[in-house]
Amino acid sequence: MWKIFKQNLRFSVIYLATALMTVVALKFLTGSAISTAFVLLSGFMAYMLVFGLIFVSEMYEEKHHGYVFLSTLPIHVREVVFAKFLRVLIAEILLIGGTITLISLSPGLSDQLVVARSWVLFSGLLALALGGLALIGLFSTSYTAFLKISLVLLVFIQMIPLILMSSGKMLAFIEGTIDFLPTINWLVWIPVGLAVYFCLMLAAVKVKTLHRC
Amino acid sequence: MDNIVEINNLKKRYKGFLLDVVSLSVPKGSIMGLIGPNGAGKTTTIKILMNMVRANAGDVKIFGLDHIENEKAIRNRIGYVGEDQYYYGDKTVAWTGNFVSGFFDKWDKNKFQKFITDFAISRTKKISELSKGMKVKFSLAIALSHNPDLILLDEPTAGLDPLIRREVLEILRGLTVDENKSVIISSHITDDISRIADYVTFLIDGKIRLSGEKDELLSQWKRIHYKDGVLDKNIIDAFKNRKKHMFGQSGVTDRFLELKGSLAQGLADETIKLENVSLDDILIAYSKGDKNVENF
Repeated sequence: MWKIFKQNLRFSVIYLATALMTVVALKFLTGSAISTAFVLLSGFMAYMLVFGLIFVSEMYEEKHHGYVFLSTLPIHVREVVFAKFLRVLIAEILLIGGTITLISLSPGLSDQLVVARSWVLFSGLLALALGGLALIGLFSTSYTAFLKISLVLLVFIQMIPLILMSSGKMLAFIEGTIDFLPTINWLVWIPVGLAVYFCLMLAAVKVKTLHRC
Repeated sequence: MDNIVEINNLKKRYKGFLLDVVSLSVPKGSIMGLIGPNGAGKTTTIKILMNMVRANAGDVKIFGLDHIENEKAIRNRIGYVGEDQYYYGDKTVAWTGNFVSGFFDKWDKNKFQKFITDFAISRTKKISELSKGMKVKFSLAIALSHNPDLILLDEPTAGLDPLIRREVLEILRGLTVDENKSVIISSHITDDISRIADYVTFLIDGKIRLSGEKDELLSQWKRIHYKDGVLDKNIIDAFKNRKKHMFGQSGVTDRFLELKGSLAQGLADETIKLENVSLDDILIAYSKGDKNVENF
């Protein structure tokens, strides 16, 4: 499994470092106190990291018929899938951990810090869950086919905020979410998010076993 | 003799195609040639053995182990060369060798380096820069460097120019020296199989039409040339791939040993002549069926 994990690790490290530096730069650009812009953009980076790592990795596998090659080696499908999930998970933990540390070191009201931390953590865990779903989708079809399906889905997903905005509910939705997040201890999100990610990983093993090459 | 591979009632369905292998076994230390036209199911059979493709039904045992439950242990003892050689194209030969070495328990680094040197493959070249022939040789180096007990070769000479093809066949022939190794090689080029195989299996339209020891099969099969009116109709009807020509008629039969007595008189007065057949002739006889009569 570690052979697969370490494969193209340099790219993953560079990508993670870039994401971390972007978050640090955002912090400097938005001032020492925690701003809404910084929190929202940091949350966005969590999605960028997960989907960047997944899509680049799967594009590479498809380009070189990597899964066909791996299927000729003495390695279980589950080890390949675990390695893919683990690489994304570790990168995301480092990014979210770094961002939360940065938030915790910032001056501001404790309520603001809790909301900011919850938002970033929630974004990170949601990104992981969506990334897990994306991997299942990618394993069940080809990268190219999945990309086409994703683009169609994205158009529909983009319409949701547009509909919310046109009805004046967008701001209410964000405010509602921001109000809701601190009501649950932000540390509770971690086991829930990880459990969801683990279940998705097991489902991905089943899917990849059915769609071997 | 122990069987290294045993297949029973194997079925794999694709749209418009059914692979249906009732029974097939490969004795330990032998080379089995899997012969058939394109689309006969050779690649599917080999991929099922590798567990790269899941069968719909059937029982496959390799080294006496279930090929799905013991997938990893079995692959550890198999050397595989596919019809297409897929590796990470942007990586070098050395990187790929190092990457692959980590998966096999019995990887022999020195052996790999010797193969690479003998095959004149540059260690620093990227995989994408290798020619088709070089890729096949590189695949052989990968497949043989972990001392496999079973070597699966799926059309290894397809698409190679005659020089490289001969070179690859020489390498494969060298494998026969070690009697502990078993080889399954698929090809639609029967000449390749004829050179190296001990056993042959004809796979046509997803079904095994004939399987056995190569020399024994070839001794049973003959092409018989005969003048009109010399042979009984019931004997002629059993001939495959019958042809009419200006000298009389001819047909291929797998019942030569059985018919030997009936043909003795004709052979003596030269109204019947015998000709040895090649694996190619047998393949054509099965592919064209019994009823085909060609006029020349």
